[in-house]
Amino acid sequence: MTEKDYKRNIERLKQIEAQVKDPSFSLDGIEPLLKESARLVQECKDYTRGLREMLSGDDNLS
Amino acid sequence: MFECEENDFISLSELHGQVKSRIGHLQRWVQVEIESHRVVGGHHYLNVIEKRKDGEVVAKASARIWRSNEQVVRDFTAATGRVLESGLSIVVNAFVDYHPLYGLTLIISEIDSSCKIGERELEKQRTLSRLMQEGLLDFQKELALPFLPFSLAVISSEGAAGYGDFCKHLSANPYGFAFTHELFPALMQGESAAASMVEALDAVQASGKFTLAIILRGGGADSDLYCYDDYQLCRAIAECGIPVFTAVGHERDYHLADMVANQHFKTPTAVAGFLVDWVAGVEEEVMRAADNIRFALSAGIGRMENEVDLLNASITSSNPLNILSRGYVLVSDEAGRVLKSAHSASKGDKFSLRFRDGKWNCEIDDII
Repeated sequence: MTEKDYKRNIERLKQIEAQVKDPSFSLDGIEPLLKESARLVQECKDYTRGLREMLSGDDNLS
Repeated sequence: MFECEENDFISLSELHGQVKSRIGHLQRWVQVEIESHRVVGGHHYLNVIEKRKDGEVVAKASARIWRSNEQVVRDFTAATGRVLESGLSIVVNAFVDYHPLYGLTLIISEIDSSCKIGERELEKQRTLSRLMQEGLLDFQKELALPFLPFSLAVISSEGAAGYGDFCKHLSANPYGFAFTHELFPALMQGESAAASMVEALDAVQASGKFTLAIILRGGGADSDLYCYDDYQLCRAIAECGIPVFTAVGHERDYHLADMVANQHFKTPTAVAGFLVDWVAGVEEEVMRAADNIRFALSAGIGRMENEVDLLNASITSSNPLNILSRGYVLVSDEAGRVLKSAHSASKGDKFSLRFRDGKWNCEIDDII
């Protein structure tokens, strides 16, 4: 994952948040959105964890 | 073995006694030039000399001003604005003391305040004026030091104790920094020293390899150090294209070469210490910058993690289906939209009752 992918995921999560909060949105459509958001959140968390590992790798080098 | 009668010889102390007796009480006003001067425990210890016009030393003696008589030094300084220092010519009233162990010493009781500055000192003043007029005093000060002092040209004498001290101090630095320095051998004292150092400085510049030049000596008799007041040497230092440091002598020695240099140090050990501290300072600065970058990166990652957590929490908490797990039922129209009012649909409309584990499809029989 790249920073660009991360930003794209965040944008998508914001859209999902708005849709989930929208009372006119179909209840039938929510579950697929929740599954998608869980996937996007996991990808983002993997990305930030990777960044932290890189940072601690720099610590070891120094 | 040589044998003689007891009366044929005298003891050394008796000989000294006779010399002392023949000198008698000798006290005179004497003109001397100070070769060196130091103060220990309030007593002034001097080496005084007399020179011919060509500079050759023709007489030399130790002299003392005892602490009990130090007022004469203060009076002299107050009257002339001068301190006792190398190169200064003064007229003193001295008593000749002769000691069997320490030889001849002049015990100074008065200093003539109408003193004349020694010829060397006059020459030094003339050179200083010339350097000032030509604007050479500040040339070196305007040169920026390199980021790190790693290509050093050292102008010194290979066997000089000062050069040895410098190398030893650099190599034994507690941080383990590796310094690269190249020696440009030169005479560091005496008549030919100035020209020799100018030649070495030229060679340093011609090589184009170095970012810093260091002229190292390390103490010695003051009369040997006049070369560091030489105009040509000072000019060569001032006009050198790279910063020049000097470490010529001990605390008492201060020369025109020191004045025109980028920086001057009392001893070779002091300049080595400065170089080590310099690199340590840069290392600390780099480490601090790295820490700052790491901290900023960590904070940035923290913001990203927070952003993801907030969005996740917001989506999860906003999910209307959450209430189903608590036993509630959601009513939605055929399109799946939540119905919040009994009057949002009409009799005969189809709707769904959504439970945690499924839904019922229903039809409105009546609206009350």
